[in-house]
Amino acid sequence: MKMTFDQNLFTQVGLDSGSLTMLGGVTHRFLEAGQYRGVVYRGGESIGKFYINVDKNSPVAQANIDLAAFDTSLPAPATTATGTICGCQGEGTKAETTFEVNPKGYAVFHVSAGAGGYAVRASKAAEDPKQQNQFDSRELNREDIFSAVVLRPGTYSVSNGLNTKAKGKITIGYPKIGKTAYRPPSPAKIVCSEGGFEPANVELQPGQAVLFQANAPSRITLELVKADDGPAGRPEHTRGGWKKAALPEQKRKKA
Amino acid sequence: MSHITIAASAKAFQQLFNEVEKNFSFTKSDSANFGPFSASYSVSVHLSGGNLQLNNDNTFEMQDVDIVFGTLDFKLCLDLPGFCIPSFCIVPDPWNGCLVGFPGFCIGGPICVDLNLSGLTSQITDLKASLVPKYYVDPARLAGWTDLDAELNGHSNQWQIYIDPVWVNVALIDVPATIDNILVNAITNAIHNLFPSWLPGWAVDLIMAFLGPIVDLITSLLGITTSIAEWLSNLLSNVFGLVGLLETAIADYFASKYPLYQFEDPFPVLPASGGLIPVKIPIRNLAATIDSQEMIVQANVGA
Repeated sequence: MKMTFDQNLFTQVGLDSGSLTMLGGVTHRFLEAGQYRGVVYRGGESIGKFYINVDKNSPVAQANIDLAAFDTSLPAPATTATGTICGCQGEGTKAETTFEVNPKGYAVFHVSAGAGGYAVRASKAAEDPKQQNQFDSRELNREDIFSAVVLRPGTYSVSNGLNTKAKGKITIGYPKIGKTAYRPPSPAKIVCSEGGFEPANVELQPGQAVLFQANAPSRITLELVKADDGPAGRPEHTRGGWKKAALPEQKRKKA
Repeated sequence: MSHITIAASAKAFQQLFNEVEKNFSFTKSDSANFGPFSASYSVSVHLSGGNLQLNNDNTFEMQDVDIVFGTLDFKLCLDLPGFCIPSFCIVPDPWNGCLVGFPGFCIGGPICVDLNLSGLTSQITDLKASLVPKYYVDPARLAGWTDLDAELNGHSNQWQIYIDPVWVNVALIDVPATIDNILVNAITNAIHNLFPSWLPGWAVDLIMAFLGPIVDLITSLLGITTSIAEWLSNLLSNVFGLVGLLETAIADYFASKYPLYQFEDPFPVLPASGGLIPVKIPIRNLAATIDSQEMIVQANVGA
């Protein structure tokens, strides 16, 4: 039996806050109470909608919204004893379509499976655009957070598609088998402001998250510019096949 | 006083015993699920060597008889927990907790390793026994046959002297410390076999780093608190109960499966020749005893 993991985890190398994959998520605070209507996009195509009720009486501090659940091209999610894990179904979507969160809480948009490429847009149902309190993951702002996990070792260029001045570099170290099981360090934080990234150069360990806090309009992209394939001479990954693991001849101890 | 007395020296007795043990064979296979892992084995065993001691109390003891596992195929399956990209905190709360977390991912799956442990050994540390004669009536002998008919047809009755075990003690299976490396390599190989061929080398190294030292992973998954060698020895010897099964099989074999010595009854004294039938004497009241010097077989000539 083969390990069950999503190929996209290891084949998607670059990240884009405006095109979310399994390795990137966006966190947004809906500061004003009210009902927000959200639309999920894959590429430029709308693939689902949802509602977020932002209620100051709500005890919910974090609403996790899985964008992959809106994608009908992906396999159905796991089921529970009471049915699918989705609550409300609508128009073929597998996702829960209504969420609630406290205005002091956060909505976390993430991708649980598949190739990703999702964006999300949400706004209040109001005629006045100023009152719509619009959020678009393709244009982060107001302390929105783009959280990225980079697995592939190498050097990445970081840029902000909405601010040409913002340039940075992230280096991901090569994994080492230590005396204990490796666990990524705590996330690193980069602030995106009008002046660019702060700090601009960051060294990370594989799997370590980096949080981009958007204090200015931002669309963060990470692009691999130089891969790190590890120490020279390391064996290529091939199937080991079957090998006889015979014990060496034993010599009986003489009493 | 007996009509016939035959004695076998300690050296001759040892040779007789070696002939018996040479014909011992034991095969067994079993499997069991232990929760975090499952295991199965298939063994075939033979005996070899041993040191004889004859006692004055009509018993003998054999010590250090090698139990050789000519075949010991061992299969271990465990549910690899895989590795997780742990959920991590995006927005910590003021109380050192986490207000907003990013969901993590976990991967894993079951793996099995086949270990060829052929050549492992154990020992009969002590076998104490006396001798017991048994009279064997060949079931193929027809009711109307004379002793001569039975001999001519190859179905003579037999006097048989069996070993009658008092106790049999078998030591735990001796698993060498090198099993650690063998198991680690086998598990590593099995894990690598789990990876799909498309997985890039850096991802393999990353997953292996997440898993950490394989020996730690194995001991953790299998709940090993001693060495792997001790754990495996205990699993085979006690948990699967191979030691007990061997003790029973050995005792049963010596007691009833292969006699130490046998001869036909009536016993041929002179072969047939010159048109005369063979001369045979009936043997009665056979007894086999042991003292510190030799085995003594005594019998009377019957009517």
